[in-house]
Amino acid sequence: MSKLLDGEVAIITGSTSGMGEAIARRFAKEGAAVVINGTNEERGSRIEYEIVKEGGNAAFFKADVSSASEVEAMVEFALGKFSKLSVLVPNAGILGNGLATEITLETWDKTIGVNLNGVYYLCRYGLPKLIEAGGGKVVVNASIASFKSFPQHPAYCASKGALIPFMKNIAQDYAVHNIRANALCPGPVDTPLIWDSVKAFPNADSIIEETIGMTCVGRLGTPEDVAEAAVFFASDQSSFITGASLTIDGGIMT
Amino acid sequence: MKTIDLSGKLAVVSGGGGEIGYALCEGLAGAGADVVALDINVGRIEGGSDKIAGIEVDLSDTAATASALESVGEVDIFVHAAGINIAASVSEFDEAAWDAVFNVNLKSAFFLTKMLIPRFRTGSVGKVVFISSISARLGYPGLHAYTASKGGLDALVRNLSTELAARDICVNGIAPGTTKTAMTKGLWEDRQKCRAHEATIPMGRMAECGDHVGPLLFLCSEMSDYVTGQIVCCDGGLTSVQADFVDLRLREGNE
Repeated sequence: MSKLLDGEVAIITGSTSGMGEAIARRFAKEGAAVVINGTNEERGSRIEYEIVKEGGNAAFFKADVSSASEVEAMVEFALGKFSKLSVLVPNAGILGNGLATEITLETWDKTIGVNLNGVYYLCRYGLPKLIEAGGGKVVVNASIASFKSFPQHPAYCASKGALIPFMKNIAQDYAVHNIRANALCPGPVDTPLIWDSVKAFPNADSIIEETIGMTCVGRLGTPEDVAEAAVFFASDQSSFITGASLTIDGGIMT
Repeated sequence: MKTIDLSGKLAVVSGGGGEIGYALCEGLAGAGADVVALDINVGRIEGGSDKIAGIEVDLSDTAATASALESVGEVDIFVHAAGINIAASVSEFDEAAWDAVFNVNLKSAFFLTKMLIPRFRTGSVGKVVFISSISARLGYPGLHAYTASKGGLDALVRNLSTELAARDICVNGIAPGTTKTAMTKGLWEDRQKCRAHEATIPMGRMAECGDHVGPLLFLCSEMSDYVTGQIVCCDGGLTSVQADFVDLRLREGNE
């Protein structure tokens, strides 16, 4: 059977661990060339090596997505390496947790910088390349935090909340260029981030078990669950879907 | 189109003889599934793919529907695509019309699901997908029963998902945007009206029946095993934007 992402070239930010890593590996298995991104060279290079060893096409680029110039350089790197760019997956995210009155201004700025500005920068520099390619897909990794609050996650929730209308705006303005934009809204997914996230909860010791109990399906999501939905939005399976958000949460928001 | 593999799966599709329903049956069969299509009119199914079997049944008749399902074996997928529409102003909308729409669009969705649950194969995640409509969240003149029934379907998706997860069955919905079928003929046959409507859709066109196949295959495959209780809008962006601001000039300049 032909692969769902044959011929695509994707940048997946924050793909040296967690959901981003799963998306990069899954995209490569579906035939896409992938730019792996993060700030940890050792992990990025290892993932690149493993994807290539399995017959995939991947290249790591170290960049801090809160830096516009580094994101611009990453887009140029993708073009130079794979000759085109057709899928943007702004995925990188950090927590910046603490009470709103207690986190530092630097923490606020950094969280907004990575989670929101990083998405904007990838679109700012990547969308013109998608237009050059004749069209493409933007798959924003948002969160159920786009819709609800969590204890001591003010910067995280604010940044994720902003991503949905931003994505819709991209969907509206760039449909004319054959570009679709959609958002993934993962619920509780077993990544390094969730284990940091629980520390901000008053019931940190029990919250994971309680959260599992709140899902319909009775388990945490896996990074692969989210990667499957990313493939859907990046592929022609979703060719008439744009401006949509898909919650991948085992039913916790139902 | 590159596709998802559903080989070895058995899908039951209510309304499989309708335009969208049959396109979904073909999509499922094309992905390798065997399909049983239930419809009051199976004319479209006869002489088609040998992977699609038609059963003629009035879905508003719960007892007849139960009999029709007797020959169906272990099920992996149930798609409720049956839907009818009767349009009239409030003052002219009679009870029979209201009941007819609700019986097919909403009541049969629930009772078909109820009847099929014991038949779902164990050991893999079962999939139930209701074909709803963007009209569940938007108003249209005269479509009182249709929009209310689709709103009910959305609510039923969420409610069934909470209970059926324990049986390893995911329940989701697809909300098609305005799709080129006989039901919308009055719109797409009138070039001027159609153009005005398309101007409100970011992707600049009405949906074809086949546009809904990709989302269905995703929701029927292992790719969506952690997705339940969700409605996927397949509408070219129609419900995500303020329609007045879709910039048609940009589009025309680009054609």
